[in-house]
Amino acid sequence: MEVSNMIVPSPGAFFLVLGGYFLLMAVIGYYSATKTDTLKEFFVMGGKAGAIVSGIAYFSTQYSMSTFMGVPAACYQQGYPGLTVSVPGLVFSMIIPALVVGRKLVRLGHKYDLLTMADYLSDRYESQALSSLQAILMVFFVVPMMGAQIIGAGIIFNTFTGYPEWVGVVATGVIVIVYCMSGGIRGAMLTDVVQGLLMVATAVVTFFAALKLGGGMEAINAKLFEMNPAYMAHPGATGSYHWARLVSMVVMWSFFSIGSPQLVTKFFAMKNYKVMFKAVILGTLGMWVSATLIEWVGVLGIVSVPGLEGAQRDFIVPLILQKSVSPVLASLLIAGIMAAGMSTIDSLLIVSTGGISRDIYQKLLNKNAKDGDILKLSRYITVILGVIAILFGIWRPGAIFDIIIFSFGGLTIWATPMLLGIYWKRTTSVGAISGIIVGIMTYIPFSASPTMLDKIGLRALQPLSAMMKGYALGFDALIPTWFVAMAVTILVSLVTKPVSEVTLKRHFG
Amino acid sequence: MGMWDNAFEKKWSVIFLAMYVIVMIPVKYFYATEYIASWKGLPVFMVGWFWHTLVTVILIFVFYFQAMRREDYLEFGTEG
Repeated sequence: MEVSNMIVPSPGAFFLVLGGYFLLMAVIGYYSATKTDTLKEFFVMGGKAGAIVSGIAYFSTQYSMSTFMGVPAACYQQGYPGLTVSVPGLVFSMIIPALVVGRKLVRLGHKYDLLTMADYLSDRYESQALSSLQAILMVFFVVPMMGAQIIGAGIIFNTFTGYPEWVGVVATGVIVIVYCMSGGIRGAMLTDVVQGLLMVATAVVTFFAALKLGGGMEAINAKLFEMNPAYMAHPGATGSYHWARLVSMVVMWSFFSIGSPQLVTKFFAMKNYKVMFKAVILGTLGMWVSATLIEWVGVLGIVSVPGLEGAQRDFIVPLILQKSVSPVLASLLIAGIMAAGMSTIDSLLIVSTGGISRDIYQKLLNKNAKDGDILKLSRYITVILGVIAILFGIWRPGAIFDIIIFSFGGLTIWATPMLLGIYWKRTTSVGAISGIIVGIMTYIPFSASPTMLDKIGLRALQPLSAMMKGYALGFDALIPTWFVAMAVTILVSLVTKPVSEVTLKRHFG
Repeated sequence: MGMWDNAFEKKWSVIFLAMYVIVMIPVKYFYATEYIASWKGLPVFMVGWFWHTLVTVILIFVFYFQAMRREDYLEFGTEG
């Protein structure tokens, strides 16, 4: 049965609630615009973001549409081992990045006015080429990541209203463009607060609704064991969640975040170390509640809404809400799922804008450009990138989760020059560039699905891709790729010229 | 401020890295290939993950309170 036939559309309530939600986002965008008149305000809120905004924005950026659709669907298919995706490692999502690079970035941001990851890289490695490479590759991977979120919004819109998916894709894209273009990072982070709270509310209400539908925790667990004992033990019902997968998931969502440009920018925006700690605590608690409960819903749903197959599983959360709460409340909480996507798109939109306007245009093409001109240009670039993401969402080259995993890896390979730049004085710009180029060339065939390679015109790499995946030993492609990038960076750095003593003193004290 | 800059940083880096590694060890409390029922029939690894997360959150709080008593963490003020 088609999902649209299982869900009873209530377009009136949905349009009413969604309209109100979009209006609120636009109002926040307008408010933020009145406070955003400099480049530093546009990109890092003047380096004065408080704990609540930083903490909630961090976790709502980290968790995307797939947290509320794809991952509960995987849990529905696998049973409890499906929660391996994020539950065992989520407590480290913020403390590990804060511990490894966060404190240093807060300090460097305040002392030397750094706004983006590219700023850090060009300063540390005395290399404009490296920061330009980062900006170009970032845009290459950010667009699919934004597109994946927009695809999810389109699917939800179509299911709940009956209107074509592209209408939802365009509506969601336009509203994000409006508040990012007008309010910059302030617009993105303030809307993230509302979106983050909505995400937590969606997770909590859906969890208790699913428990009630299934007859309580004990009854559900007994029934699950009776249905299939594999639901209750690793590696799960289809054998996907083996130990190497657990390790990959724990490491991916915590350690590799240090290479994620949109999350690194959050450290530059923090006011001081106290704010950083409070943000870590608040963000961690938010992730713990929302991710655990919403993924758990997928497992509880096996009993409360049995028999879903294929793409139907993606709708386990909306289906439970529809069965349990009033249409208006269900619409509000489903808006929470769209909020998860929007809160990820907005941060990506701002960092990729910075990549083009500052790191490519101002530093490479027009070094005399004034900050005021760059601010104006940034607003145009935000619109252009947003439109490209909308078009990508309409094109839809692959499954949402596949695109997200692929893009996340492509973005976070920068964990290599970030880590070595902070901890090893001998790392050189040539070493860092070599490591990234070899890393990306390894990662694309290692990670992309055959369909994705076909869609991006790299069908010839399919046999190589299949062979490389066989050597990953069950770990995510990002992990072996990272070891390759580290080895190349270290070896090349040992035979090339290090950066000047002045720069090393600034970075290492 | 790096992970290994002084005794205070080293201590907390070791503590968090140890917690990080522990959750990846394939013991039944974190990774179980057989169903071992725990509270209300939950698989034991769900309970293991819960307690491990709780302990780590408490450690983050302790780290925060200890750090805020140190001068190097007050460099940019404490407002916020």
